[in-house]
Amino acid sequence: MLDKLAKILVVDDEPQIRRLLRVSLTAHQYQVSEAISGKEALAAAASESPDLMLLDLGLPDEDGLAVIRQLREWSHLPVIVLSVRSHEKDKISALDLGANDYVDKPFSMGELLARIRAALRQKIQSEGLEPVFHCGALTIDFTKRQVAVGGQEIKLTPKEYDLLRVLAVKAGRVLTHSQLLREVWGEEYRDDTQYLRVYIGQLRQKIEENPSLPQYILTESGVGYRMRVFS
Amino acid sequence: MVQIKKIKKGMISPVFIFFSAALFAAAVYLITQARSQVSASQEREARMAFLYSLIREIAVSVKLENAFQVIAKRIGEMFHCNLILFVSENSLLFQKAEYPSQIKMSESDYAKAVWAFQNNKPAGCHTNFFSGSEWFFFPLEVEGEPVGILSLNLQANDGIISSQQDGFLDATVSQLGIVIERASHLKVIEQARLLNEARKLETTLLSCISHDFRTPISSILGASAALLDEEARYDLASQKELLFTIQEEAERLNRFVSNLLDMMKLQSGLKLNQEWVEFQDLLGSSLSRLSNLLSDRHLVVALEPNLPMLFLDFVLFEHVLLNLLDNAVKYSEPGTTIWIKAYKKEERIFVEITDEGVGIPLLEQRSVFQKFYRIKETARPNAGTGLGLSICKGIVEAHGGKISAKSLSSGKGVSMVIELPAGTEISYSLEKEKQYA
Repeated sequence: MLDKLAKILVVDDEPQIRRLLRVSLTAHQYQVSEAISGKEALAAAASESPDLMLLDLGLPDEDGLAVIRQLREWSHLPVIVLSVRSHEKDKISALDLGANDYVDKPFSMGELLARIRAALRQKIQSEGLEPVFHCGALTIDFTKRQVAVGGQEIKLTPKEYDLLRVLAVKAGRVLTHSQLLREVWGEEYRDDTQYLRVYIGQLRQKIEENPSLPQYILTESGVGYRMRVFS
Repeated sequence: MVQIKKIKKGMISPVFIFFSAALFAAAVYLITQARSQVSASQEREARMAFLYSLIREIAVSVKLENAFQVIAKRIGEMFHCNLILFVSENSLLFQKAEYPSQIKMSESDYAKAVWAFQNNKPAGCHTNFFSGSEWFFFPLEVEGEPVGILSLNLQANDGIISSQQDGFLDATVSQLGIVIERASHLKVIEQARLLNEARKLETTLLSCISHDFRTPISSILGASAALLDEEARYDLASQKELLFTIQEEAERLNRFVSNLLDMMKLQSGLKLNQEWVEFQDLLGSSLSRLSNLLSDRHLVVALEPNLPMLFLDFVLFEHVLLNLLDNAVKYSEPGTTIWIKAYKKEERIFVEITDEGVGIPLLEQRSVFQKFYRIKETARPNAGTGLGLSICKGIVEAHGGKISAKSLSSGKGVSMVIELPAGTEISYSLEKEKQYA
C-alpha cells in the first residue's frame, strides 16, 4: 500500500499525546515527525515535506487556525485537526480554512487511522477518479450517473444524485453544511441548511436499509456529513 | 437633616403611611427659604394626598428601577426642575433615575454630588458648600448611612423652594430612602441565595469529583501499574482484561467531564444554535454514537411519517438523546427492548424513549431531574454523575419544551417523554424535480 510509507507530521504541545501518536502511528508503519508549536509546524511542513499534518487546534504560541491559514497560502498538504468535542465552531472554521478533516479528542486510534487513510487517498486520487464508487452494497457509476444498492438500481432526482456524488468523491472526509450547499445548490444557498436536511433525509430513505441507523451517509453533529468508507 | 427611619422593607400599609406622616412633622431640615403662610393643616393634607398617590405608584412598580423613575418624575413635575437621582452601590454613585429622562450633569457637578455623598452633607446652592452651583445635592440616608444623592437643578426656579414643596420633598425623600433600602436588601438576599447555591454546588461537586473520579482513576492506575510490573506474568487474556479496564474507566471519566462541562454551560446561560433538523437525522447520529452500547438491546424505532422538522440545537439535543439512551441501557438488562417513538399531537412534537429496566419510583419521578439526584435504591456501581437528567431538562427547557418520566402499566421500566413545540411549518419550497431516469 502506498500510504503505508507516508510521513506524518504531528503537531501538539502535549508530550503525552505526541508520544501516543508516535508509538501508534509507527506501529501502523507510518513515519512520524513532531512539532510542538505553530512556528515549528510551518517550518517542518516546508523543510520535511510530510504527506500529512495532524494538528492540535489548541497550540500555545498561535492558534491552530492561524497555522492552517498560513499553510494554505503555499501548500495543499492534507491537514487533520485534533479538536475538542463541543467546539463545533472551531471545527467548522478549520474546515473552511482548508483543513481536510477533524478528529475529536479523546479519539480512538481506529477512527484516527481511518481519517488518515481517507485524507491520504484524497491526495493520491485528487486528479483521476475511479469511474465506479463502491461502499458496501452501494455503487455509484459516475460515467452513467447510476446508483445501485445490492445490484438494485435506485432512482434519484438530479439534486439527490449531485449530493451523493459530492459526498462519494470525498468519501471518508467530512464536508461542512455550507461546503455541501455551495457545491450542490450554489453559493447563495450556503446557509440554507434545511435544504440539505431534507435531501439527506430523502437520500437515506432511498439508499439506507434503516434510515434511523444510516450506514452510508453519516451525520457529524453540528458540522456536516461524511460518506462512510468500508475498509 | 431628614431622618429616614428603618421601616420594614416592602411593606406599604396604612400603618406605614401614618408613620411616614408622623415623620414629616419631625422633619427638620430647612432650606433657607422663608415658609409661606399656608395653614399647617392644609399643607399636611396636600402632603398626605401626594404621598399616598406616590406610595400607590411605587407599590405597583414591579421593578425597583421603575420605583426610582416614578419618584424622580413626581418630584421633577412638582418642582418644575431637572433632577437626577444617584444611588450608591459598593460605595460608588450610580445614576438610577432622572427627570426629564436621559439628562446628565457635568463632571464637575458630579464631583460635588460625590462630595455630598462622602461627607453626608447637603451641598450646592442654598448651602455652605459649593453654593455657586445650579444644583442642590441632598444626601439620602438609611439609619445614618448615606445611600444616595438626590440632586435638584434649581436654576430655573431662581432657587426658590416653597414651604409646601419643602414638605413634599421631605416626604418623598423618606420614600426614596425606603425604596433604596428595599433594593439593597433584595440584592443582599439574592446574593446570599446565589452564594448558597454556589456553595451547595461546590460541595456536591467536590464530593462527586473525589468519589466518582477517584474510582476510575484508581482502576486506571492499578491496571497500568500491573501491566508495567516486570515481575508479574500475565497471560494474554489477563493483559487484555487489564487494558479493557483502563479503556472503560477512561471513558467513564470522559463522560463525567463532558457532563460537568454541560452543566457549567447550562448554568452560565445557554446560547442555542438553532437550525431546522430532521428528527431521524438527529436520532441516527445519536444511535450510531452509541452503537457499541446498544448492541445487546433490541431497538424498536417508530417515527411518525412526515414528522415536521424541528427547530433546535442539533449538538445539544444530541446530548439529550445520548443521555436518555445511555440511562435506558444503564438501568436495564441485556436482551431487553428499548423503544424510541416520535409523533405529533396537537401542535406539539413528542419523543419517547422507553426501556424495560428497573424504572423510577413514582415519588422520585420529579426529583430525578434535579442536579446530583440519584435514586438510592437502584444506585449501581456504574451509576452516573447524577447530572445527566438535569442537563436534559435544562436543554429541553431552553428549547421551550418539557421532559418528564412516566411509569409504564407493565410496572417495569420507564418512559422518558420530551414534548416540544412543533413551531411553524418551514416556509421553503423544494424545487420540483423530475425523476432522474
